[in-house]
Formats: sequence, C-alpha cells, structure tokens
Amino acid sequence: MNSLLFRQTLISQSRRFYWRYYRLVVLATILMMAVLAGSLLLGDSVRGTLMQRVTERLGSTETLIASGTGFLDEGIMKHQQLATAKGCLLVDGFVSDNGRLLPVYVWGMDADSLSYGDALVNEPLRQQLGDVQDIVLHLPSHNLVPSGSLFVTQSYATQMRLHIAGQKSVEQGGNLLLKNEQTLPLNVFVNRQQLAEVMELEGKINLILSDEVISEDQLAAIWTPELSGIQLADSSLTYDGIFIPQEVVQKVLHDAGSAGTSLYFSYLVNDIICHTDTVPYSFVTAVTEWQGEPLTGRDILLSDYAADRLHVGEGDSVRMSYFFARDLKNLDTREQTFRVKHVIPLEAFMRDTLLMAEFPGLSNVERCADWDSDLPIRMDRVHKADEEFWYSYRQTPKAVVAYDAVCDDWAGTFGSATAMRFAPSPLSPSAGSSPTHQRLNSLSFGDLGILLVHPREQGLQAASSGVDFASLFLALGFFIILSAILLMATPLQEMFTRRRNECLLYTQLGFRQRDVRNLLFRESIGVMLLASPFGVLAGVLYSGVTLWLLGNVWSGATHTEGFTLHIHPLTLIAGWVVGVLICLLTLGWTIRRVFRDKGVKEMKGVGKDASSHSLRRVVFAGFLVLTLGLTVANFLVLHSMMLFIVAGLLWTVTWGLFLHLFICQRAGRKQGFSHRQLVWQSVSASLRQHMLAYWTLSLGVFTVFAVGLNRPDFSDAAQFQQATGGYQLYVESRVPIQYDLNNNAVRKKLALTGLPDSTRFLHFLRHAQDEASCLNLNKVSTPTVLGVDLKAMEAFGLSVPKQDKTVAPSPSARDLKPSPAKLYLDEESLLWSLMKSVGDTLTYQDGRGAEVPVVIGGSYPTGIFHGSAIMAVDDFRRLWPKEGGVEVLLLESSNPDEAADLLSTALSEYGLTIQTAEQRIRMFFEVTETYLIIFLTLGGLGLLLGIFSLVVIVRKNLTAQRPTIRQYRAMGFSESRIRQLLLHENLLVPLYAVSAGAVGAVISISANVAGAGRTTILVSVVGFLLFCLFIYYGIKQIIKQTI
Amino acid sequence: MLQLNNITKRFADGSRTLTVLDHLTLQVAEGEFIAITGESGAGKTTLLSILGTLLQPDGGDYVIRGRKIAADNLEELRNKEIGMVYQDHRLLPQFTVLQNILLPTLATKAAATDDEQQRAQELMQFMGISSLCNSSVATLSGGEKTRVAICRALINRPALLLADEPTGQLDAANAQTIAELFQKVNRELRTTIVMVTHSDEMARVAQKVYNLCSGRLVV
Repeated sequence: MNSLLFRQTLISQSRRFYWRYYRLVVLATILMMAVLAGSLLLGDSVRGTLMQRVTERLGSTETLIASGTGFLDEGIMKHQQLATAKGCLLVDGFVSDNGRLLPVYVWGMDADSLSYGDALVNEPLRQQLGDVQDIVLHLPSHNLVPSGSLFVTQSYATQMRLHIAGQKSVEQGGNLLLKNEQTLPLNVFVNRQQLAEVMELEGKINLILSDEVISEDQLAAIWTPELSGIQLADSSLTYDGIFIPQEVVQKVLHDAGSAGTSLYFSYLVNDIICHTDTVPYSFVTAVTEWQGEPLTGRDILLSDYAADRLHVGEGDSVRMSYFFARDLKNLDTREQTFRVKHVIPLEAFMRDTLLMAEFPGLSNVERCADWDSDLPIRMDRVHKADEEFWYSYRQTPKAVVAYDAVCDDWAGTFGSATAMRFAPSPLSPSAGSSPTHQRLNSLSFGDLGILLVHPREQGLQAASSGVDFASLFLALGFFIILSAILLMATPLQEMFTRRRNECLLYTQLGFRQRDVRNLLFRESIGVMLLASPFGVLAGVLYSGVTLWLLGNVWSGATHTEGFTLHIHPLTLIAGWVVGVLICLLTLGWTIRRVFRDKGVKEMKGVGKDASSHSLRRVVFAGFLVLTLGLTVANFLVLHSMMLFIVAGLLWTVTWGLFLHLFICQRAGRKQGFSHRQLVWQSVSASLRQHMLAYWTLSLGVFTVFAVGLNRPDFSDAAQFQQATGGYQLYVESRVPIQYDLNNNAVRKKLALTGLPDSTRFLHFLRHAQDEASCLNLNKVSTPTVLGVDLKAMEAFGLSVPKQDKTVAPSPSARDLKPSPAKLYLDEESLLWSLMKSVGDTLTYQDGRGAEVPVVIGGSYPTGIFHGSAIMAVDDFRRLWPKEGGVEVLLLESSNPDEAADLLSTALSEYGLTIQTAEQRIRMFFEVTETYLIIFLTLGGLGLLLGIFSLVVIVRKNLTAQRPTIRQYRAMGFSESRIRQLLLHENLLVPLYAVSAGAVGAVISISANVAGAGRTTILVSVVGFLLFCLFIYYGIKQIIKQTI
Repeated sequence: MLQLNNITKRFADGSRTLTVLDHLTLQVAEGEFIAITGESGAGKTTLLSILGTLLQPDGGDYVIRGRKIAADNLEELRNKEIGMVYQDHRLLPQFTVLQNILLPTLATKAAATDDEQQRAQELMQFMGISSLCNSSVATLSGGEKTRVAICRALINRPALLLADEPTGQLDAANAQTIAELFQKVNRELRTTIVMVTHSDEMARVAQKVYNLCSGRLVV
C-alpha cells in the first residue's frame, strides 16, 4: 500500500495528462520571460557599456582644466598640486587619406616614447587608416592671437607630416574623449613640443588632465594671471594674445581705478591723409592719456615723421582711414578727421614699448612686402619711403589718437586694449605681491575663460541616465509579450473548459470551489514556474543576440562598435519576478473566467444574461463615438501624430467590440436556418477562442502595418523641403572659417569665383557641446549651439517671436542688464534627448566659465539641425564672444555638385566635410528607421506568435468538432460542403481581424499620408493581400489535415 | 433520513419561466432504496441535484438526518454524507482506478490515509474489480466504470447514495449486474439510495418507485 494518493499526485498526474496543453504554456512562458528579462538585461548592458566607455575615454582622469579659447603657460605643471597631472595641447585636426577626410583629435602629450615626427593613433583610427604608416595631419593655424581678429596671417591652417609609430590601446588612454558620447573618437597623439612649434604655441598648453579631484579653491591657489599669458611689469600689463580680454580690462580698471590707468590699442590704419599727401598702412595707437595728459576728442599726436610726409603742423587737420570689421571680417573702410594736438618726435614713441603690439605676420618681417596679413593690403601703394620706415622703426606708431575716438570701431570681442599702463601705486608692496599684482586681486581664472570640469562625475551621470534601452525594448517587444500572454491563455482556457466536468465532479465530491481552483492553479503555476528559469536563460540569449544585432545589423540605431553583455543577477531576478507575476495574473484571470462561466451555466441554471448584451452595445456605441470624434477632430483640427495612432488603435478595438456583438446577434437569430446561420452558430459556440484570435491578429497587423507605413520614404525629396530649409549641401569645417562666403571679395580671395552665381551660403557659428541627436545614447544636458540669424531659420519651420528677431541691444546696454539668451531645438531632441519643453532653462558655461541660464525659446520640426540647438547670433556672441568662426555652412546652388567640388578643392586646408542635405536627413532618419525595423521585426515575431495561436485555436476547434463532422457525414453532407462550412467558420474572424488591423493602421498614419510614399503603400497593400492569402491557404490546409 | 417539503425550482428561458419542481414533497427513511422515474425533461436530474445539494431550490425545505440544508458547509455534507453515481461515470482519465476511488478523500486533506486505501481495496473487492486497481480508467468497459464510480461514491461511507441513470449506457446484462450491486450496497452496507432511472427493470430493484410528473412525485 505504498501508492498513497496525495493532492500533489493529483496535480502532477493531471499535469502529465494535459501536457499537450501545457507544452504551449511552457513555450509562451519562456517567450514572455525571455523578452522581459532580456529587455531588462539590454538596459543594463547598454548602460554598463556606456559607463565602461566613460572609464575607457577618461582613463583615470578626475579633473580637467581647460584653458578655453586662450592658453596656459606650461609652467603651471610645475605646481605641486599638478605633479601627477598631464599638460596637453589638444586641437581639432583632420587626416586626408585617399580622398577621405578623417576628423581627428590631436593630442600633444609629454611622453618619452613620442619623438619628433612620430605619432600614436588609437584603434578606431588605425582601422580607418588601414596599412598607412605616414600621414599628413592638417591643423588650424593657431597661434596666440585669436584667428577671428583682424591682425592675423592669411594662413588659417598648417600641417604636420607624421610617421605612425604605434597604436595606443584603450588601456593606455587611446580613446581619450572629453565629450559625453558613446562613439569612439579618432585620436592622434603627437609630441607636444613639436605640435606647439608647428602651431607657434611654444611653451603653451590648453588642457590639464589630473587623476586627482581638484577643487575651484585649489585651482585658484595655483593660478596666477601670468600663467594665462598676462604679462605684468612694474607699471604695465600686456597679454600674449595681444588683445587684453574685456573682462580683464574691466576688472583691472575696477581694482586699480580708471584714474591713472591708461589704455592702449594698436591698430594698422590704411591711410593718414592730408590734402593730397598720404601715408599708407601705418601703425597708430589709441591711448587714453599720453605722458600724464588725457587725450580726448579728435586729438591726434602725430610723429614728426608723419608730419613731415603730410606737411602738417600742430592745429592742422588730418584724416585717417581704417578697416572696420563687421561679422565674419566683412570689411568696411571708415574715416575720421583729427586735429593735430602735438607733433612728437618718433623716438619718443619708440621709447614707449606699450605703443607697439607684436602682430604675427606683420611685426616679425623685414620688409613691408613680406607682410603676411589677412587684410586686403595693396602692396602697390607701399613705396620706398614706407619700406625704409619699416626697416628702421618697424611697428612704431606714426601717430597716437584718443582712445575714445576709435575704441568702438577697433575694440572687438577679442579685447578692448593691447596694453595698460598704471600710475605709480600709493600701495606699499606686500610680501610676494607687487602693487601691480594687487591691482589684479579680483581677477580669477574664470575671467580668462579657464574651465574646471570633473568629467567622470558628469560622464557617469550622462551614461547612467541616457537612453533607457530596457524601457525601449520592453516597448518594442510589447507585442511579443502580449502574444505570448495570449498564447499562454489560449491553451489554459481551452484545457480548463474541457475540464469543467472534472471541476464539477470535484465539487460534487465535496471539494470546496476554492480547493478546486487551488488544484488547477497549483497544477498550472508549477508548469509556469518550471519554465520560468528557462525563460530567463532565453532572456540572456535574447539580449546577447539583440546586442550583437545592435552592434552589427542594427548599428544604424546606435552608431557604436557594439555593446557588452552585462548580466546583473538582481535584474534577472526582477525579470523573473515580473514574469511570474504576469503568469499568476494570466492564470488567475483564466481560472476566474472559466469558473465564472461555469457558475452561470451549470450551477445557477440561468440562461445568458441579456443585460450583458445591452452593456456591450453601450460600450461599443461609446467606443464608436469616441473613435469617430477623435479621428475627425484630429484630422480637421489637431493634426497630432500620436492621436492618430491612438485613433487607429481605437478603431481596432471598436471593430473587435462590433464583432463580438455581431456574432452574438447572428447566432441568436430565431428566423430561418441556413448554412450561414450554421456557420455563425458554430463561431458563437467558440466565441472566446475566436475573439482571442481577433485580438491577436488585429493588434499584430495593426502594429506591423502602422509601423511599416510610418517608415520614412526617401523617394520624394520634396517632402524634406522644410527639414533642409531648401538648402542642398551641409558643410562642416574642421578649421573655423573666418569669412563671409557670400561676399564676392572673399570668394575671389579664396578662389571660389567659379561657384555658380546663384550659390548662397548660410553661416553658423558653433559652440561645441554634446550631440543631442538620436545618435547619442548618453543623457545630454547642454547640446551643441549653432549661432545664426534667426530670420533664416523660418525656412526650417522655426517660428520666432518678433521680439527675438530684433537685433540685440548695444554692448553697453547688454553689459548692464543682459536678458537670458534663448535657444531653439528640434522637436525630437527636445522631447527625447533633453526631455525638456519650451520655456525650460538649460545651464551653459559662457566664454568666461561662468554658468549662464539659457531659455528654450521654441522648437521646430526635426530636420537637418537635429541634435544641435539654434541661437540668435547676437546672443551667441554675447555668451561665447571668441568662438567667431564659421564651422557649419548650408549651401544652396543651381549646381550643388559643382559647388561641392569647388569648395572641397578651394578650402582643402579647412577640412570640409560636405554632405548633401538629404544624406544628412537620411543619417538621422536611419536611426528612426532602424528602430522602426527593430519594432517591425519584433512586431512580426509577435504576429507569428499570434498566427501560431490562431493555428492552435483552429486545430482545437476542429478537433472539438469531430463528432459534429461525423454527424454531418452521417446526415449526408458532402466532404466539400463540410470543408466549406468549416472554412467559413474558421476564416471569417481571422480575415476580419486582419482587415480591421490594417484599417486601423491606415488611420494611424493619417497625419502623414503623404510621407508614407508610394513604394511603402504598394508594399503594404501587397503584404496585406499576401497575408490574407496565407491565412486562407493555411486554414484550408489545417482543415484538410485535421478532418 | 431525508425530507423534501414543498420544493420548488424554476429556470429562466429567455422571457419564459419554466417551473420544473412544483411544491414537491418526499420522505426517505434510513436504509431505504427508492427509484424515481419520469419522462425526459420531467426534472429528475434537477431533483437529484437538489438532493446532492448541487442546486439550491427556489422554495421549500430540504432536511437530511434532521438537519435543514442551508447554503453553508454544503461541501462537507456532500463529501461525508452523500455519494453520487452518474450515467457518464465522470471518472478522471488522468488517474488510475484506485486514485479515482480515493479522490473524495482528498477534499479536506492533502493525502489519503492507509485506512482509506484499505477501504478502497475492500470496496473494489466488494464490487469485484480488485484486479483493476492500477488500471487506467480509459481502458475500462462501461460496467467496470460504473462499479468504479460506485466505489468512489462509497469511499467516505455516505449515508445517502444518489444515482443518476447509472445503467443508461449499459447493455441489459450489465445493467442487471449493476442493479444487483446497488441492492447489495443497500442491503449489506445499509446505505440509503435514491436512484433516478428510465428503466423499469432498474426501478424494480428499488423498495419504492416514484414517478415525477408535472413537478411532483407520485407513488
């Protein structure tokens, strides 16, 4: 008597007996768990990979000290605090390889292994270069004078010939990158001294990488004005970038007092004229006072040399013409008339060295003919006398004028003085600090644009709160989960329905209903629990495969080299728990439904409740009204894409409710009896299974078709008119262009006269920050800003309030009370990357390193500027006055190909990357497109599951109908008639479901019917017809096999 | 043993109400064996369901061993006091003969005791199906299934055995054997039996025969 009967035996034997149902439950559980746990693992893996990238790209760096647009003296590295830090010279450059242009970051590093002429490259660049061993590195021709100022050389770019001595691995810091982006940078590491020599920046660095956390106070203790190039003498101040930054001038004036402090501004004027006598191209210095005597109004101190050449004396008038630069060195010639206050011996001017500034390309040459200047100097006007003067006196000014008379024209964003002189100080020097130093007490490193950044903290924050792939893939795989739940519920319901008598028997035997439910529940949940670990394991496989696909086939969505699988046990447990909860809910719901029906039909003996039909009618009517109302209102007024998708989904639901009502009504007809009635009665008999088939198929078809129809179609370029603003080319310049390319003189100078006359450029200044487009998976807080005339942005669909279009207030008014700058973002970046809305504020660091609020003033349709913010050029200059070069250009031309060829040839030194506007749009749409493909793929898998459920339902229906079929045969029905009846019975609902889903999908794209494109519509129609045929023949085949 | 007083049962059929039992009255003494006959649709199964407490009457009282049947604790009553045998046997195909017989013992506990298993063996012997102990019920003949169903109904030593057309699916010889078995159960185990049947032969083995007509019982 060993075979004791336990409840557990009861359960396990039933489980075995009904395994044919449970194997589907196992399959569904594994699938659902796999998608759930896999999606969570995907989130972990992407986040983990991004965080790993932060470590890879920063190495052990904890603090960055960036010099901004200026430079730091390498002497700063001798400070104890920076003993282990690395001083670098980092510049943007490019390598031209077989006609390809590879934008690279050039790192000038102090490293024993890097000798002159050698370079190390990181792995991604090595891959790009292939076997190439020698490269020419193109660099911006930086020197200490900002390239946006007037007095620079003609050459904006320079080169280095380098031999690739080796590869710098990830562990060695090869992938060093300061931006919060997951894309791997292309890095070249060169000897810092060599780089500095090539760029005329000897002894300078612009970046310090420290493995220690350095605070602002610590940096303030390290920093002195001299380290930023401020040269202090006993009674004067000059700057190695020539133009003393305005902030420094203001601080010094504030600390030292304007009385007794004299400002100097050296300038190359075009002419000093008196009647017919002219002295061409002379250095003139503007001063606030000369030898203790204020110089004001239209006073000019003329050198005796100039006075002789112009034949003028004290009290005479002379005219002076000079270039005045508007934006992008658009030059005007201005003229002022001065009264000669004194004639001063030239030697007196020579003795005051502050009157002379060392302009590169001008001051350091032997002859005027050798001047290398960006200014349009006409050498034919330079005569022997001018050469002789230059030979003897170089840049000694020929005249000195009142500072106030010219400061508005000469002083620019780069500085408002070339030197400052202080009167003898009443202060007594304190220990270690001269009176001049004491005048600079309030000057801080921020005033010189030095930024202190703790990148790891920021990077990890950006990586951890970036795109949530767990939610994304849960959403993308939602239909698979739904289908798996339906696949789970279908056999369970079928089995429980079949076992109604068993349940009834249990009740008759004295089992409480709760116990009967419990038996069934334990029996089924055991199967689910047994399957669940396999589901979790399948989830690991799912996430592994998906990560591989994201790094390869679907790399368009992420633009990465792939992700590493990160398996966190807690995530697996979370996925398992959620999956088990879903199983519990599905099982509980199914058992409840079966028992509720059992109670109604068998225990109470009461027929179907007529009130439930009335309720269904009301619900259907409600849904119909809601759906119709929403569709019409959206079509006529709202035009919201999201609402159209909701409306499409509502249509699918509404048709489902209608189907339910219709079947009940047709089956309940009392009049007449026909084949049709027979079919509807049979459908009604297995109404629940048919409704399950409807929901699975219709929602699957809706998902797949709605996504498919929403895929962008590039066959018609006209639809991208607004996205491109009508421009054909998008140009990025690695070296900032300091010219207005719409200016004919500039075109002549740059050999661009061959451009078609219709060619029009739109210039953008750029403050490089993080990429906020869908290409960046990190959380972006401050996107890259492009400065442009906002009026031009109307072509891109940006609607700017009138007050924002007006020109910014004058500099003086601005300085007094600046209103927050505004920026504008494309809708997708605003919504998904920044998760902000119009009116919110972003915090940027301005050119001085100070945090400034920038208000999001509006948005515009996503297009060519996706991922970058747009700002009015005046606001841009106010925040980042020294970032004045054009780095982005849009071009419109009657012959864009010819224009592109000419641009790349003429501006080859600038490292132009030229894309057609359509290519750029495609690049962004590729991300959306890839996500849609992923959604489509997963939706398709879900639909396959739905079809599988349908097959199960049809087979079970047919099996259940075998007695009926035998009866038909016994009654003389022909085989073909029987098959026809069964075909109608099993085909009506699936075809109706497919049609309802497809109609819902068409409604969901109403917002963008034109955007769907003919090809997409054609493919969808063919797909729909093929799908219907597939269902038709599939069901026919099942019927044939089953009966 | 049991008493039905003025039992009424109605069913709704669309807008129509069907009165199946109309103030029906019945008294069955301890150890009595009665048969109820009647036309199809007369309400025999409904009456049996009420006796088995599976259906609640719309009116009237049901008293069993002096205890008036209320809506609560019916499961215990059903499990301990009432055994039921059906025309379609209602044996569960996933279990063996022995397991099917022991099934009622699990209604209130997790496992059948040795005593209960012993009792099952005795019942099988009593019914002549000992050799089928570990057989699958799917392999049994109709007569064998009926015997298993009777064993199952008797496993908890019920005072009342209800049988709904127990020989409906059997041939005459088998039906006769089953009829004798019911007599044996009634006689030797002193179990009160209420049997619903179409068959006059079957009804004849009962001590009293009632005919259900127009919702009432007539002797």
